[in-house]
Amino acid sequence: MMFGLWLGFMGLAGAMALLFWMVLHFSVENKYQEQTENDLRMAAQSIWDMYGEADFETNIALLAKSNDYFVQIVSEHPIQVMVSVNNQGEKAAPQQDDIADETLFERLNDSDGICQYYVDDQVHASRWAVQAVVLANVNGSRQVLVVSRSQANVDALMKLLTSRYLLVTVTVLVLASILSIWLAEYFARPFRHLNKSAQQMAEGNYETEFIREGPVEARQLAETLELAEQEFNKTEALRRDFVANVSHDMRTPLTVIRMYAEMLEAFSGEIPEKREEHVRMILNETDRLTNLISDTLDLAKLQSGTMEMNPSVFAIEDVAEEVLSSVCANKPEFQFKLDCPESMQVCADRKLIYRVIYNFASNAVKFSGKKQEARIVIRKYQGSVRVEVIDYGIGIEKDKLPYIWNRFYQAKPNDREKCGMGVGLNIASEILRLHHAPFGADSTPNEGTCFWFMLEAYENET
Amino acid sequence: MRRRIWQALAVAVFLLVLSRTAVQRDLQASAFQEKIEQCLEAGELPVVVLSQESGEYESLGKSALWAAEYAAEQVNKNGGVNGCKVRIVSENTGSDNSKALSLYQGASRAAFAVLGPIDAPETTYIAQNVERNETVHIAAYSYAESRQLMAPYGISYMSDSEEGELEEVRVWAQQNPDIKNIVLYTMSQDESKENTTELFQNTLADLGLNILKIVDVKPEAGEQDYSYYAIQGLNEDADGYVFLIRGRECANILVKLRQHGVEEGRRISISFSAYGSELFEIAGDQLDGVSIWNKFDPFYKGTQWQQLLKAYEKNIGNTGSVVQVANPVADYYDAVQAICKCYEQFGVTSDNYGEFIGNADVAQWFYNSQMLSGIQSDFRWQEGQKITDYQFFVFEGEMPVNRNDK
Repeated sequence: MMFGLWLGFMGLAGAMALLFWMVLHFSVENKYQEQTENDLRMAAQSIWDMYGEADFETNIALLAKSNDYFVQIVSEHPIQVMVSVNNQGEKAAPQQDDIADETLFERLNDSDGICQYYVDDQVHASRWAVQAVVLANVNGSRQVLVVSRSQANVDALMKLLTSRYLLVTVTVLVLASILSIWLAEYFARPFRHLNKSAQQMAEGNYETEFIREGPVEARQLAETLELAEQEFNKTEALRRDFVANVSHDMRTPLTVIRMYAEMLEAFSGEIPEKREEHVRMILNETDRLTNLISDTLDLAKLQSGTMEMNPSVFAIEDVAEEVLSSVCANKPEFQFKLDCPESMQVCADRKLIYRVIYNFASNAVKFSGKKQEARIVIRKYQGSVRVEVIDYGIGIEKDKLPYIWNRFYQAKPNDREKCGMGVGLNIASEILRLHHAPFGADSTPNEGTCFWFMLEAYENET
Repeated sequence: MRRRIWQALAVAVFLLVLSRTAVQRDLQASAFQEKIEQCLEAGELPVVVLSQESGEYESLGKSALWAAEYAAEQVNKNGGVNGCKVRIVSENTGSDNSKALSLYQGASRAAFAVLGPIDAPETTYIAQNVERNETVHIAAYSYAESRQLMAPYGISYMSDSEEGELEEVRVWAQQNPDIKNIVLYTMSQDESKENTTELFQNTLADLGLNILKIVDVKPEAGEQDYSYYAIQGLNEDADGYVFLIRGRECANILVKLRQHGVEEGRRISISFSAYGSELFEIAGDQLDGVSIWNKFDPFYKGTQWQQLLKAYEKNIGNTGSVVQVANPVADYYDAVQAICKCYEQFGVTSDNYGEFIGNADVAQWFYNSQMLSGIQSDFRWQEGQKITDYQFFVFEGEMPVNRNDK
């Protein structure tokens, strides 16, 4: 990553330098060249227009001096210089022989009578920009006007600019290289550390530290990974508790069953009263074990989404009554009342809704405290049927309420007898979600809890 | 839905505009037809003219219409034709092709001969779009293609310029046998000049002339362009320079050539299309020895021509220089005279005029005519093409002198 970043930064710096060079070369140099050519063209035009005037040569000298160009007029047959003026406006021999030699006429033959070209400046290691135009044709012999200007000044300027440019380019590239190494390190280091920590976490070390450093995105990634690690930690703890709970909850009834079975074998088989009591205990524990396995299976089905719904129309108060009978069967002293002023029909999976009310009611019995009393209240509410299971027990702290629907969550983890595996409310919530039914819990510590849910009321249209 | 409504509305508006234009055109045609019929009802013989009193060809068109009216006036002064007075019945096309066509169609319903337009674009448009023609149409049928399309009814009011240009160069070359290599100045945007250039490329070698370079001059050229065109000519090892271009461009380039070494004016030949005020004003003092040709002789001594010149000067407000007579003046005068001659020969009167519409004999009378008397000399039509003498001049100082008079 670091090399890639460095390469990218250097590529950018190189591209910028290239762009700058292109601007310098093509724009500045071409601009100067274009300017020179335009000047020569205009000069040639002016002289061409003056041809034939009495003071023609004097005017040429003035123009040459004021505009810094050399002027020659060359005849074709024979090739000879008729007029030659230097850039001081003085009559002088042409600055170079090849400015206007026989190749001039060859160039004109391939043109419309006007041509522009460059000749090497042998003295200044530069070039002469030349504009040639046919000035007159006298008896088939062309007279050609040649206007030229040295490019030495322009070339010197371009050389200076180029040398400065090279210096600046090297400096920029060196600075860019240093800067790019620092930037690449700045960006790459946090990701390197995060990668290393993530590898440790993948190996099972959930205490790995994710260092928050570098750019914002790297710091945010570190925070996210840390949160993920915390979640992993919690899940792992829940998993461990679940295994422990399931082990305990399954071992307890098995131990009891074994104990009563041994007692049956050893001595109570002969005593009808004892035998009946021991057989009943074995059966109760077997039911408890069956329920435990059933809960675990249901939970697995709900989680995997393979739980099938069998909706039917039924009276919700009937289901509530069945639940009460079942829950209170072993606790005749518990005052569990049903408050339902009228019969209310719903369309849902009867078996699953029974399970929900049963789980809520079981909880109410477990956590009712000393006040052995609870209520199921069923009312119509805005076209729905609202079922509330209310106890007056120990209640749940407000900060724990959001978590009671989580799998394996136990509000009182030390109270093993009451808490069980922590799946009852989770199962109830999954069933209600399956029915798209709103549900919730309101609680005040030491005053009691109200579990509620709502099902759409079924109205028989006929 | 809304889009469809807009589309339908747009189509409806388009059709409405189209139908309105069509109705307008038909109304123009009908009005022109009625105008001709009214002339006949008044016992006068109509000479129907499609004139260009506005638009691109306004200046030439006005001169041409004046010439037609002047010719009719001369005929009427001599008692008219077959006891009827002659009247020019004209309508302005505005130099607009489609209007010219609708007016022509209107005229065709009531007249058996129509004169004009003076310009090739309008004439060609009529020839290409007229549905059925049985009307003698004397107009700018200078292109053989258009003439064939309308034969035997399409008649050229003027003599062929391409042949005139070639004849001028032939005469010029004969007079200057030392001229062998030439530079040709032409204007490719003018179809007529383009055709002439092609003709020169194919035939000048037979006259012993070699075209070294063809310089294509753009219309509306500026001072620097003229220098550039002159330099192109000077760059060649040429003995002579032939101009097929208009007056202003020709004059400016010619001046620059003369200033830059072309000392002898005889080395230059100029087309009739440059014969006008701009040439004389710009290059007057540089024309000595230069050859030029024209379709008529402004200095012709004939009485009729001299009367025409005076009348033209008086009516058009000329500066007095005879050389500024517009080109179609002589041709339109001749065309009206020819139409009147036809009326006379076939016994056409205002009463029997309608019987000659679509008459094949009348069409042939024009299409392949006997010798007719023109304002300057005789002429005839052969296969619709006007056959007449061309006039060749050489400048002596600033004045062109007809070679025949020398």
